[in-house]
Amino acid sequence: MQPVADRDVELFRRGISPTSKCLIGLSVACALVALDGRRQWTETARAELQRGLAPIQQLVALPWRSGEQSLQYLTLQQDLLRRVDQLEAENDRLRIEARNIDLLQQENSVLRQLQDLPTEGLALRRAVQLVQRGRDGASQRFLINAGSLEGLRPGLALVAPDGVVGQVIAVDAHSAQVALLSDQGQATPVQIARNSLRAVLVGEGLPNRASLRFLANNADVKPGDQLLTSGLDGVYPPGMPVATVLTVERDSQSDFAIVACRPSAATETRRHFVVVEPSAPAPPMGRHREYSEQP
Amino acid sequence: MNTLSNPDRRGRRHGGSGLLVTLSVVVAFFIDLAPLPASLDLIRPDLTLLVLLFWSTRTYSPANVGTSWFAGLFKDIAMLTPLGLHAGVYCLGSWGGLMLRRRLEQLPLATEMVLVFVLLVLTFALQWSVGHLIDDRPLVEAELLSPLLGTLLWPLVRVLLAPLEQRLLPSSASD
Repeated sequence: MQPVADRDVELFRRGISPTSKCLIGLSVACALVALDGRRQWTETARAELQRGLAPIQQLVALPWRSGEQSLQYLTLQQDLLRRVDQLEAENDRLRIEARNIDLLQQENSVLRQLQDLPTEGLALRRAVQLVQRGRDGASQRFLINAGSLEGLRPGLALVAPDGVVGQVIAVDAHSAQVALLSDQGQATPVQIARNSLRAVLVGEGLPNRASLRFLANNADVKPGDQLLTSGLDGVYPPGMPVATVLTVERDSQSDFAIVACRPSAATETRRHFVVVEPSAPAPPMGRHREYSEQP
Repeated sequence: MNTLSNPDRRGRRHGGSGLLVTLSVVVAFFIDLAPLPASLDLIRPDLTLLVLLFWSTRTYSPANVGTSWFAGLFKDIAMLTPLGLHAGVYCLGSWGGLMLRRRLEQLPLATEMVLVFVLLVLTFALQWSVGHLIDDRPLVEAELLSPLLGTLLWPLVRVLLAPLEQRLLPSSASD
């Protein structure tokens, strides 16, 4: 049998059994649970211990919070980039709309000017729109969006508020071809507004280029003179602006002066025109001033 | 913690290995403190309890019931739960692990996982019951997944802590 002293030493070395430890631990835990929140000292102890743990908790949370913030930053950046794309697209759309509005306003202004054209002495009057310009460089011709079914026929005049444009030379059912004043060989009877001197304006086949033919070398013409329709051909109403004299060359070897002119109508920027036909008899020449006063 | 201040005779025999055990519990404790979205926080397994269970089921581990009690107390402080709640639960879980120590080491992993699951369910039930008694805490169904996920993590805990366990063996300690 083991001596009593040895048994005591052995018991001391083994310590308390796990079950006893568990029971003690559970008892203390139950006591803490019961006391927690009911006694001031538990609150104080918890607060002090919590204060000690707080830096560690913050340190532990740091990587997670950094990751979360990085994710938020990336998400925000993607959102912003997407938003920028949307706004740019919206901006483009609005700019196009604004441009369309500008075009509509310009078109409206032109149509108002066309509307304000004098109607006296005009048998046919129809607003038309440019469909296509001549593809050939030397060709100074238009295709317009009205044809025989709309009452157009060859020989009718095409005018704009700033002057004569040209003459209808061929028609289809719903379109017509117009030869501009600058079309090669296109002849327009004109008279100089300053002195009523009559002449013939002939197209040069180049954009905005025409010249006065068969004008005597000593004729009273000078640069800046305004040319108006004479109305003698029965195609154009009389007194409409046609062209402006650019240069006058007088060669002693020739019987005729070389007079370069520029058509008055801005055909390169305008899309709307009016087809007119002067009614017989032609109105008196006194209407020249009325047309020349148009803006 | 208790492991260091009051090491049992096995821990003392294996020198500084108790420090590694404590460190593993501390790391698990910190991971448990890491913030997660509320939905994930509900089903988060108690990693500290898993590590404590692991060490309490190992023959040469210096961790004991006291270690678990103190770990639980720190968890109560950190997680603002009633003082003594986690302490008691960890204490009981660790005691359960100690009781199963001999049996677990002879059982296959699947059976070990079943026993771990039972322990985790019991500790969860105890923890929820006490919480419910104290502040009428409701049961959220998602929380029931926590013991299951803890059980599924058990093999991973074993693999991660196995190298530390090797250092606690007497043969390696004598090398």
